[in-house]
Amino acid sequence: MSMQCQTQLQRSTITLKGSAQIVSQYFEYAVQSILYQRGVYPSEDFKQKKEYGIMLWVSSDDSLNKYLTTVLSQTKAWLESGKLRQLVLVITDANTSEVMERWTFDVETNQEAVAGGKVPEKAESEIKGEIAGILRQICASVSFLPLLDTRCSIDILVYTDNVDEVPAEWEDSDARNIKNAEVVSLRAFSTKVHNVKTMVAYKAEEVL
Amino acid sequence: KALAASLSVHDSSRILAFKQKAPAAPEGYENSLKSLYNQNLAPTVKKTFRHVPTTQERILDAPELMDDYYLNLLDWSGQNLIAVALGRSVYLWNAASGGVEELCTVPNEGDYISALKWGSDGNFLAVGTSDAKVQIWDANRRKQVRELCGHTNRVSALSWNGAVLSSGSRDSTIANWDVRKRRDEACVARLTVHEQEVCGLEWSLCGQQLASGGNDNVLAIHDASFRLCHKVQAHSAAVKALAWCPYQSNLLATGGGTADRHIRFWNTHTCAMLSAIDTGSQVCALQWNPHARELLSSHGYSKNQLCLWKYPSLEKVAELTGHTGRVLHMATGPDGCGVVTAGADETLRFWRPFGEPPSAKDGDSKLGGGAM
Amino acid sequence: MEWENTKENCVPVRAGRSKAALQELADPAAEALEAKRKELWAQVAEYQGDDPLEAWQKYIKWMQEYGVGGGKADLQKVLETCTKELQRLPRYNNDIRFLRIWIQYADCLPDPGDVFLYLREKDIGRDFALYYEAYATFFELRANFQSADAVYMDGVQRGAKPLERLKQKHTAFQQRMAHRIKRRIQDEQELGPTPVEPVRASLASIGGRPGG
Repeated sequence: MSMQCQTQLQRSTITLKGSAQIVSQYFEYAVQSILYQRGVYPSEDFKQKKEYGIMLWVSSDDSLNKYLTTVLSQTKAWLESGKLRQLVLVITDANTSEVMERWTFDVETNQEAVAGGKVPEKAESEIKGEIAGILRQICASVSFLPLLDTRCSIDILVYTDNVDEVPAEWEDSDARNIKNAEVVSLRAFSTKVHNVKTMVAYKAEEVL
Repeated sequence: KALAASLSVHDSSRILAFKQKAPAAPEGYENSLKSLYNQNLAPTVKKTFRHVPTTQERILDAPELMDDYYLNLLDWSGQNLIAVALGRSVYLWNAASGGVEELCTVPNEGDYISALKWGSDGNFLAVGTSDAKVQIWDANRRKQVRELCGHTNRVSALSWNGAVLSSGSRDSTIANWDVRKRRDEACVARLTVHEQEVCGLEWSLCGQQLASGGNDNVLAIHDASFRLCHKVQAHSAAVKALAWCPYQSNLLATGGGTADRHIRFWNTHTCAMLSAIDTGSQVCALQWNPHARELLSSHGYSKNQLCLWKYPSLEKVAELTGHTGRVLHMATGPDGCGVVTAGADETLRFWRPFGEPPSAKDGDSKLGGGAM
Repeated sequence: MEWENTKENCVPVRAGRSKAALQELADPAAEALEAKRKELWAQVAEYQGDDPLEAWQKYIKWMQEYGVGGGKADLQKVLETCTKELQRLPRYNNDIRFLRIWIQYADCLPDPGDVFLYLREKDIGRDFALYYEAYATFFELRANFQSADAVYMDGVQRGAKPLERLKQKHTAFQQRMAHRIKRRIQDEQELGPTPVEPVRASLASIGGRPGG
């Protein structure tokens, strides 16, 4: 990056669609960062990519990326219609399917925006700054999360409201909660249309 | 339904999952983060390079040395005095005579020294405190000559550039003081590029650029007139360790904390990252070998070791162990051979990893000037 | 204060750190921490009941979670003292909690080979998968694959608990072995002409041709 001037805060109204784009992009990079920082997949399979002004690690594994793209594009559609309440990344023991860690992204949608009303303005650079702050916290989570000392797998759960027709490739799931979990909240960000809170639940007992 | 209502769950809510699942990690894969937790996990070096003495020459107790990554509590002057902060006090240890003297103590219980740095001639020592003050001490007369107030939280990093002293603080700002000016005019520039504590601060050897690192994972480069040149977030953890190359004025090495563990090399004119290496543990401090193309790094969990790297090949030349806590600070002596480290095990240890300087026939003063 | 501000002062803990510990470490009151440490230590030192390991375990867990900035006694020394103290009580030989402390101690050492041998000699933790897993990992990292495999097999043969996990770990180890062998063969194939090169070079040198 060359000489960086103070970015001018160009405030503008973010549309429901635009907001859904920002939020689903955040999901993508948050999930990728978690998978790298938690060592869920081999670090050799990740490459660095610059986004939100920071260097992030993203997977170069085709089948994993295909899964994420598919899931997140449907998620985006639900975001656009204001039907998404929560996205959950579940990290499980690949052998026993036991849930080891559960990352929750809580979404609050401004109903005014869904109804087509006006929402307050917010600068996109400000939103990106907030997102960068959360991604930084995801990196720092090594200070309290346990070592995932087993081969892991992942699943993404989507909490929806008023979804009448579920696409054929989707099915109902249980919540896959962790019993007696410790929960740590990270920061939140808001587009004024969507308000997104991130938190992580983990087991605080010894595995063996 | 009644139950659902009482639990305030909308009956229209559903939890959905994609039927086709993501692939699991490959069979046989083991989490590589494991080495962060076990001391004996990282592979050791095969000694194929020059002989490096890997044991410490001398150990001094340093009781009360604070185990805080963000502070900078050790420096070695051109006059061969080692300044170290232990809790509330600064001590000066004469490396030639072995004599030790207390220089100063902060008055209030609960306060502590949070940073120190020698001026280039070794006459003045800048001291930062937990109550947000920057003091300048005359080391010969053992007297405080200035006190600079302007920060609102502890002062964690200091760096001199001639008569300008830069101070980084937990208040996230960097203040730049011209110590020749009157007290109320001394602060000539305040830099606000960081969002969190500034824990690394280093002027380049020729005084053209100021590098700063913070807990916000940001590395920033300013020029001599305090204009921001570059701001990068390539590390994914705090940036404390900064070292300017003694023989290439625009080459900077930076080290990242626990979540990052990389040493990265930068061309500070273009801010292009030249190379990077994953060291496997928290990088606490970096020192270039003043007379060979090598870089020494000191580390935290889990091995608490020093590593000597060849540059630019980044092959590991040697691993020096001895500290039983993380090696928080390093300083190179005026002869360019000796290195002192301060660890969370409350010891100072002396090493000679850099070998003897080449014979002075070509009088390469540039390579010899990296002592401060 | 927010935990993120002191992220570099929190040593990663294998079992994780509670939210309470995380918050405490973000703004540590040194005296309060030291008081708590002393209290827990007193519970170890003055323990009168029939399960001293419980008090030790509490103390060690606290040290791991709150270790930085709280109290000076370092973890390795505590683990060492604990193992030394309690090994005279044979009833702990077959206690997973005691084995865990031994393994945590081994994790602190640069070369814990002797610890594993000692545990075997004293029959400590013989029935637990954890012992075999840790010992085999130790060998694997030193590229002593044969010994690693032997340790896994020994554990499986003894039916160490939980057996399923141990078997999975063994399988995973064997898969890594297979990968290693495959990679070596691949490397050899990619560097196909290598076996030929030295021969030519030596002939050339005999013939007095300057070596490339």
